[in-house]
Amino acid sequence: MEVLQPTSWGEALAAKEEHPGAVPLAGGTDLLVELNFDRRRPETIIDLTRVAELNEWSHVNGGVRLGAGVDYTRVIAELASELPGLAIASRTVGSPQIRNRGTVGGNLGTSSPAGDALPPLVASGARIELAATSGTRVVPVEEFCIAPKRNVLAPDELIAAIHMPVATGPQQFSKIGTRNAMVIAVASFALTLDPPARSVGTGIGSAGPVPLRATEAERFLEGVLDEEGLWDSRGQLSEGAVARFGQLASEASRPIDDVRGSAAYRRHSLGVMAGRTLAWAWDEYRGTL
Amino acid sequence: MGHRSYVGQSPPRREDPGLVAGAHRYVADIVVPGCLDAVFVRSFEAHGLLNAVDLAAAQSMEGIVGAYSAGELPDLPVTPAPPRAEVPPEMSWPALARDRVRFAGQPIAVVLAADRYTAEDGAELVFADIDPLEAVIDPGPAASDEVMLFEPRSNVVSVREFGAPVDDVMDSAPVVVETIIRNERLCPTSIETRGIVVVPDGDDITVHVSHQAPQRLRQSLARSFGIEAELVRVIVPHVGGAFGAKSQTYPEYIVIAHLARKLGRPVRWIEDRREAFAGATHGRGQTQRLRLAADREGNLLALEALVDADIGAYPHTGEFIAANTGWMLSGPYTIPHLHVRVRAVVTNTTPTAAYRGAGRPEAAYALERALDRLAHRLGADPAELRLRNFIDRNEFPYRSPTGAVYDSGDHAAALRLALERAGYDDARAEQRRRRTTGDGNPLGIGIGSYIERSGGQEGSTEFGSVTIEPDGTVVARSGATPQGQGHATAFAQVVASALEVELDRVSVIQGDTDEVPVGVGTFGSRSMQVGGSSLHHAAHDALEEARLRASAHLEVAEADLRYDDGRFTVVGTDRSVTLGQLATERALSAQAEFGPPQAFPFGTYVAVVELDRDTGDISLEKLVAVDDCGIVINPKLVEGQSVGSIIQGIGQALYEQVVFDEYGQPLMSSLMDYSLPTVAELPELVLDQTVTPNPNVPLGNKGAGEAGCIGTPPAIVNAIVDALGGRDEGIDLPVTPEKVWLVLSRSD
Ligand SMILES: Cc1cc2nc3c(=O)[nH]c(=O)nc-3n(C[C@H](O)[C@H](O)[C@H](O)COP(=O)(O)OP(=O)(O)OC[C@H]3O[C@@H](n4cnc5c(N)ncnc54)[C@H](O)[C@@H]3O)c2cc1C
Repeated sequence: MEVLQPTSWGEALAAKEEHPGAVPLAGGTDLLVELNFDRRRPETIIDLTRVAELNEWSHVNGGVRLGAGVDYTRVIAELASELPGLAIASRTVGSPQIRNRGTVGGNLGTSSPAGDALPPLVASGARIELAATSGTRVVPVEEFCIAPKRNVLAPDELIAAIHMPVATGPQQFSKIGTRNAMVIAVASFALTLDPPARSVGTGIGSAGPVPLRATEAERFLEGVLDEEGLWDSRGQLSEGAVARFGQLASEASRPIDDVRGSAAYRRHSLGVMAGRTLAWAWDEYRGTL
Repeated sequence: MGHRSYVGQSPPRREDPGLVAGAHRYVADIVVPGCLDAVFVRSFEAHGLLNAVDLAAAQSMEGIVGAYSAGELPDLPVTPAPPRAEVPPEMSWPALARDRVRFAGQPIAVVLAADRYTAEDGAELVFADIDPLEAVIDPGPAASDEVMLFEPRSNVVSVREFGAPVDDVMDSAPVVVETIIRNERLCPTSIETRGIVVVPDGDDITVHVSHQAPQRLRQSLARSFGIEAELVRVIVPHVGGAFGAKSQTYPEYIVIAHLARKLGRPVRWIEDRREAFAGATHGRGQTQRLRLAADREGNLLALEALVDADIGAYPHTGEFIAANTGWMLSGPYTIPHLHVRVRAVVTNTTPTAAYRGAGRPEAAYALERALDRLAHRLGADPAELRLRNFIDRNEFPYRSPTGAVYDSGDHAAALRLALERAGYDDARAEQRRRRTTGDGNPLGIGIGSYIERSGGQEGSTEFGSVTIEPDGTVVARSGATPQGQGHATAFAQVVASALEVELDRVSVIQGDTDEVPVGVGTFGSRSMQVGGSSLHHAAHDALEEARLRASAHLEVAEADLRYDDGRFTVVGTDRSVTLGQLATERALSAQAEFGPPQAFPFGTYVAVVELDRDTGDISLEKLVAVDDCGIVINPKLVEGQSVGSIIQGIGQALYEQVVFDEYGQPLMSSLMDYSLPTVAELPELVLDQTVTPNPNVPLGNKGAGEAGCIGTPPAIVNAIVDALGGRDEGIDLPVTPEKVWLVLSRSD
């Protein structure tokens, strides 16, 4: 096995072009498990940890451009106010050691429906910047994952960054697992409220082949908030509306049964989480939290 | 100066500086020049005919020193069964599979190389041709013999009965509750996995191994290879946890020792975590049907338990662990009529063996769940029901209907203390308030009363010796071999107290058969009760010998000697002699192999849980543990045992379960799949104790290693069921939020 250690983004892209079968390595918290269990045996590994450009984040066009190699610990420490949904989700990832190594880019690279960073990206309409020596393209996160553990990356491409709008309102994330910490989600739900745009974003994790969006739930809630003038009045949301939102979110999921939980429980708990995250977010919006 | 005693004190653990500094050495840290690394090729089928094992590619790979299956090693011994297990010879466990594989993970071949990497690559080139056979996973269906593992022999290896059938009592009893309980399989999961290094030297072998019972392993290896035990030296370095699963002789150990002897080269094998899940033994694994009869006041009349123990593919330690369940099934209660039948059944799964509690958690859980069902049926308070049926404190020693003789006890006192520490009455009041007002989440309070059995097999002894050195220091040797418990600290306390010398003067040697040739080992909560008692006796005998010598040396009667802090002084003079001086000309040493009766520690645990009405999430708010292990030698060590054991109990109640699919494939292969509780799952823990001295040992102590994992699961599950208003359908171990939600959603 060959390990390449490029020290610049240009070198990294060139290496990927030259070795299209090579597997990139960021924090290694997914990849090393795969290698250990002998699920993969790549000929070449491209270690991206020396590429400084990947480990940076910056403001671009009023949004955040998050380098693919920024780890969870930094997302929590540096971006909690700009990307609160992602920061909340990041806090639930693994243990401190895993958060020190694991990256959002790696979570995308793995493309597991259970990846905790993905629902907040979906809820906030994140766009993924993919690069090759031949050029760069940007795809919406929902189009990035196409099946469990499969994504649209071409053999010569690397994930460069994640583009996300700066939060304009409350964001929430909730995850249910088999224990409190160090756990793969049985189901998870992310919610973004964007008051200036009067829009609602959702993301469902671990309850479908890819992270999903609960579109009907979003449209329903936007409708209620508009019709009742709640964005402006910051009035109370009816219990019925919260329940209906939960129900629509639950219906948007496409879960399966596995050792961690049944499809029925995933569907049910998603409804609960959707309702709860909405209640928290709305309370925050109303300033009563 | 007065009498020195360290009993009841908690001096700093001698083990800790090395742990904190990372200075302890475990088997995998031992460097032996020229040592070969072994990697096992394991069966990927749970059941099948092993037609051929093709080793050619592995054997010709560069760097591979050897690759072997059973065919290449005709004189490879079988895995020896522990003496107590009833194992028919045709069901013996081959060290490498021959002709047939019976569980996924069973060793089929072994590959040797100078390093692990090469050996792993070689192992990958071994091809096993296996024709799959239908697998049977559950002991119930297995007992019907539709799929057989050792045809024509039945899958039912043994049937043990206690008492006689109680159908007539059941038929006429005013109240009978029935329940079926699945006590799931668990993985012992010590941080350090198994490991062994065998170094041959002529006919001698030195075995470095992570083990609980080196003397026993030595005997067993000697017997397997037909050599004198004197030729085998077993050394146990520091051990990173064992929990019962390191007390036996494993197939891998036989293979490694065999190859080291055959090749005349050191060979080692260090298990990885994936092997530990599939290839090392599991614990628990029982299906139990209980019927409990009572009168309308709640006085117990009879208990019937039909237990099917899933002992995995080869009968081994698991065969008699199941008998422990039968033996302990009447618990701390007076039950006039009892009938227990325990069938040990083979299945196409990993063999079972001891895991902390070893049969007692299975008994306590079944009985305590049945009692709560009874309380619910009668509309009685579960605490009252227990108090009504406890064996009275004046009835000890008490002979249980299974034949166990309980040494001493005051079960009601422990229960009352646990209720008090849990704020039982207030919690019940709050529960009633929530039920009537309908606000707040469902709250439940659960009780688990238990009786332990400590000391190991009835009549088993432990070796202890005490030697006084000419410089006045004292060396204690014990057959009890620690895995992290703190023996060196506690044994030094016992010996220093008996000799009335400073604690620092006493050192403790364990875990090397050259130093301690005889001994039994550490399991069954026996080390302090049996091993500590032997050291106490040995120390006293050494002191008496010293007194004799002192009286001769100083030419006075013994009655004229005063003993203090390692020195005999002639009363009223300044003429004296020290222990060290008395050991200068002739060795001053004494030994004992004491075998006290088993002891029966006991206690009551109370759990308080709150359920999330919407998700079924279980929040363990509080766990009160009241244990009675007699006189406590070192409170800090006992606390450590309690906490660790309680956490394992929480694991069994809420998180842990080994799952196989219908083909016998293990669905857990890492610590991401097998959920152990972490520190984030710990509730508020309240530890307390009552003290009922053990009348059968000099220091009055009983075992303290396993209570937590016995008392915790029933307390927690009873609390969950209590929160669910007594509805327990589907509330099986481990109780997950999903199972709770299913009950909640059915009622809404
Ligand atoms: C103990 C433990 C606990 C965990 N807990 C959680 C959890 O709670 N929630 C959760 O979501 N995950 C969890 N994980 C999984 C893992 O930590 C996350 O998925 C993490 O985000 C992976 O990031 P990484 O940087 O370590 O990725 P790596 O392992 O380095 O890479 C992951 C994949 O992405 C690819 N990749 C990485 N960077 C790039 C790039 N720039 N371009 C293209 N492809 C790339 C790699 O080739 C690989 O296929 C856990 C893992 C462990 C070992």
